[in-house]
Parts: sequence; C-alpha cells; structure tokens
Amino acid sequence: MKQIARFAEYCVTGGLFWLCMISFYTLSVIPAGEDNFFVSGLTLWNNWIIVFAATLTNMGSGLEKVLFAAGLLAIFFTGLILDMISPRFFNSLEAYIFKKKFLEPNQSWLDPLMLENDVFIQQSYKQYLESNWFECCVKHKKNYARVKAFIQSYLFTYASGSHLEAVTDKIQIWRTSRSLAMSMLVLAALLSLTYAIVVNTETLSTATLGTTVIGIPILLLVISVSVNVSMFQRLWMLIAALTYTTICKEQPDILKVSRIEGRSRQELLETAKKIKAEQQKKAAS
Amino acid sequence: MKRKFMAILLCCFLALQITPIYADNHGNNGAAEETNNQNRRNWLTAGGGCVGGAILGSFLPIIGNAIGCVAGGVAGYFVPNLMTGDNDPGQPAGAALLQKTNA
Repeated sequence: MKQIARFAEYCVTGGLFWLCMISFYTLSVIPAGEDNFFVSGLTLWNNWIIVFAATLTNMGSGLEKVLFAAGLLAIFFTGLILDMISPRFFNSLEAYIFKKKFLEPNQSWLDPLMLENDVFIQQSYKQYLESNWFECCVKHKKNYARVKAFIQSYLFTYASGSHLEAVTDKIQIWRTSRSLAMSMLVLAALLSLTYAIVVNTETLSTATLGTTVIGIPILLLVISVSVNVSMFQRLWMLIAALTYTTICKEQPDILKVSRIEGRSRQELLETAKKIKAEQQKKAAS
Repeated sequence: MKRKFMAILLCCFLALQITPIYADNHGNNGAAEETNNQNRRNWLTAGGGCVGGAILGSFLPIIGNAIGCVAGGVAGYFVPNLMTGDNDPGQPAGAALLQKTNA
C-alpha cells in the first residue's frame, strides 16, 4: 500500500512539473502582441493534440502503448528526481525554521532529553542551538540533520503505532509539498532566465517583459516557499506534541527538570545531571 | 506568519498591476524615447536574470544566492544586447528559443 502511495506521490509531483514545463513552452511560442493570450494558448494545445494524434495513427497501434509507458516512466522519474534535489534547495530555510519554531520554544523539556542522550547528540544540539542565522543556514546543516533524525528516531522507538501513522502521513504530505514547491521553483528560474537571456524579447512590451521575467517568478517563489514552510511547521508542531507526550509516558523523570521554574539553562542542566547521577546510584545499590 | 505572507502576496499582485504603467509609449517614436525604452528593457532583463540566478543559487545558500543574482543580473543586462544583432527583431517572442531547440 505504501509503495503505491509513493508511486502516486512521484506521479503527482512529476505530472505537475511537466504541466509547468508545457505551460512555459506554450508561453514562449505564442507570438508577441497577441490580444487574447488564453485563447491562443488553447488553440496551440489543440493543434499539438491533432498533430500528435495524426502521427500516432500513421505509425501504428503498438506505439501508443509504448509511448504511454514511456510517458508514465518519465513522469515517475521526474517526481523521484524532484524529491531527491528538493532538500538541497530548502534545507537551509528548514534548518532556520526548525531552530526558531521548534527547538527554542521547547528548549525547557528538550534540554534534559538531549542531556540524557549526551553521548550521541549533546554536542551537535549545543552547537546548533547556539549558532546565529548564518551559521544555522550554512555551517550547521549536519547538526540540524542529526538533531532532527534523533528526535524522529526517539519518537519511532517509544511512540505507539497509531501516533506513528499520523506522523508518517504528515511526513509524506510534507515531502510531496516540497517536491511541488521545487517544480514551481524550477519554472520560476526557467521563466526569468530564459526570457532575460535566451529569448529575443524585442517585440514584447516592457509591461509584459516585466511581468514575465520578474513578476511571475517572484510570485512563484513566494508561493513555493510559503507552501514548504507551512507544511514543515505543521509537521513539526505534531512531532513536538507527540514527543512531549511520549516523554511524559515513557520517561517522566526527564520532565522533572523542566518543571523547575525561574532558573537558567545552565542551572537546569546541572540539576538534570544531579538527578541522573542519583538514579545511577540507586540502580547500582 | 500568515499576515506576513498575505502582505508579500499582496505586494506581488500590486507589482503585477503596476507594470502596465511603465508600458511602451508607441505614439511617440523619438530617438530619446527609444533609448529610454531600451534602457528600461535592459534593467528589466537584468532584474529577471538576477531573480533567476538567485533562485538557482539556492543550491548553495546565501553565498550561492548572491553569486547567482550578480551573475544572472550581468548576463541579463549584456547578453540580450549582444544577441540583438543576430536575430531578426520582427520575429515573435520565443522564435529564437524555437530555432535553438530545433537546431
């Protein structure tokens, strides 16, 4: 079932990408100065379909199936590629949002959890939390990945099955939205660069040129970033809530430290160390 | 977050609405007007190159954005002028791309 869902996810993102590309190509071949842009585009699509259908009829019946399979494979493969390259483009933004919206507000109960598992995570967590925005986006991306992976694996180890299903669903939706955002980003880059550098725009009015090379790409950029950011925030809001409730259920001692109010982070960490030492002594005796 | 997003989206829509104000003045074909128009075009293509370069530069955050923006802007400003001599100015937009694709 999950394999089918993934296949559908790649097909949706790949399909949107190719739709964007066809729209872009249509936009670039419509003659400048055309009064009704929408009707010209539809007429052009109609002509292409007629030519395509005529070519298929001439070539024989077997070719249709081969072309259909090849098209499906191409769409699937595009979706896969988009899914693979999208982290490269959105990682730094996500790293910053993860720190600002997830780690910093929940520091009071995350600190003792990280200290409990200091052998693996404490150094990365500390470096990542103390970094400024530039370091966070450029330098500490590995630390971000490490902290994120740790929290996810903690949840996957301790949380119950029904909760995990909600998380995996959210993760899947977030990944799909990121791939969709990526396809919009590619379209924006192609639109602005092709019209600015490759295409001869002598016959376009400055208004059309401005809208095509600056207005629409910026709009696409804003939409793609906001889609990705909102889905990422929703996902981590759920993970934060689930991690907290899982800690409450499985390791309530960790939360004792976070309930001591009016103390600095250093004091909280020292208290957590003391509690941990006491627990170890008890276990030894 | 939502307010900020709405504000940015509104600005983009307004920018799209404002652009026709700067449309070409076809009624006056004086030399000064033509030069002005050409300058405006150069800056627009430079802006487009800048936006596209910055988007592609996201591959390497911040530094890549800056480099992409500058490189795209410079290319957008100078390349169309170099190409103008090669192409027939009367041909439709996209025809150059079509020719390149077919070749």
